[in-house]
Amino acid sequence: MATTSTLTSTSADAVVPRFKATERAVHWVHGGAFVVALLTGLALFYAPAEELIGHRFIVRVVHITAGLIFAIAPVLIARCGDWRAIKRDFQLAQWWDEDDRRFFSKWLSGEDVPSGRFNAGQKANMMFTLAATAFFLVSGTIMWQYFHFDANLVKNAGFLHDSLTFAILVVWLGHLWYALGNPRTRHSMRGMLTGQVKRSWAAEQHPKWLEEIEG
Amino acid sequence: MALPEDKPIGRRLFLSLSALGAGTLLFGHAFSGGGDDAGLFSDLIGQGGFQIYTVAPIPKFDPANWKLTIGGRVGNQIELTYDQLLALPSTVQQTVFHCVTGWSVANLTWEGVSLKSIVDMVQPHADAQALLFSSSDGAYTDSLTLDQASVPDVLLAYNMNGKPLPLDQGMPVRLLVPEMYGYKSIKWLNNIEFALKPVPGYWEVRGYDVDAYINKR
Repeated sequence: MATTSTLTSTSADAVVPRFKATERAVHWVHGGAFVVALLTGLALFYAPAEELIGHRFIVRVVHITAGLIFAIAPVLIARCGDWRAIKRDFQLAQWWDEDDRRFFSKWLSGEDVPSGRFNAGQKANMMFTLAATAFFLVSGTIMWQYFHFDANLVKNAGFLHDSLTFAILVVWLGHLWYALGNPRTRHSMRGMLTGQVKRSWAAEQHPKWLEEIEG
Repeated sequence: MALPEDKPIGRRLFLSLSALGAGTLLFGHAFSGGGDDAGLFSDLIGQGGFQIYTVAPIPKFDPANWKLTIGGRVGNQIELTYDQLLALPSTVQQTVFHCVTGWSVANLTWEGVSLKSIVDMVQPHADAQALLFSSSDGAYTDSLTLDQASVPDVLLAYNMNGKPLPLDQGMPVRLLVPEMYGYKSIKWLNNIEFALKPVPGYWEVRGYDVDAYINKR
């Protein structure tokens, strides 16, 4: 077995394990529900789309359902699956080493810093997504169950829900660019689809992580 | 797993965003003119504050054939043409329009006939404790108790900001209940029926509160 693993890790198109099934399930259920909630939210909130699509009641039901799945299903999947892997990922996102702290200024001048399992952009994305999801859930629930709440709170919840939508759209478009567009990073999509990435890609994009797992 | 030289910047980012979110929820209205302005995003997407919601296609308005019928448990059933409605004594008032989905439009001037004057005109039976409203879109309904309907600022509004109601605002006439969320203010109103008790309206059978007062009494 030892010989085999040495062979794989040195051949040109060797792969290394990147994401476990739980991590991928959490990602895709969250992302799938996000797209449904975004489109139905557009049909509820943006008047031209609302007039085109109509069926406000059905759209509202689908939106609330997708929103609940968006916020709650990932937690349930994580709890029923590999909770430790999810916990580790979010712990990694909390702590930034010296290279992470230089990441954005270097990024602005087009330079790389050596990253671990996640680079600082990914870490920021994870933390933003965590907070945004929590507040989508809170503000959405207040809007949905508005009659239990004070009128100002309902109004603020609507404003927060809208603001979060604009913010998450910007972050999501960036996420899509790095996952699908940017030639240097889009191989990461394979990690989220199959769970594995090329070792050579990991060596370029996440060298400190590769070092760690091969340590 | 964190090394001593690592800093919890991700955690700080999360906590800052959470503080911003909680602050918006609790104090957001204090920064938007006491909750009376149109809201940043309605302005951004250029809808003049209002977002138009419908539950059925917008009905056509033909001034020659349009009628508002008012009947049910009343002594004096009436039918009003558009011209007859405009000829009734009218009131003009400025009120804020609050939608339950979180936006409001301030500085709206409404003109119309006070519902109280209609109530007096039709002489409801002593047991008529509610008014049921229907829309010519064929789908939307709502109702008020007689007491709610008799509040002076409840209007059958036909002008908005000095002009006839736009088609998507309920032309020719909509109910306007300023103290309640907008879903009570039924558009394209064409029938009022006096009844024994209120009947939950379109959104109310779909989860909205029958008591639509913005500030509960």
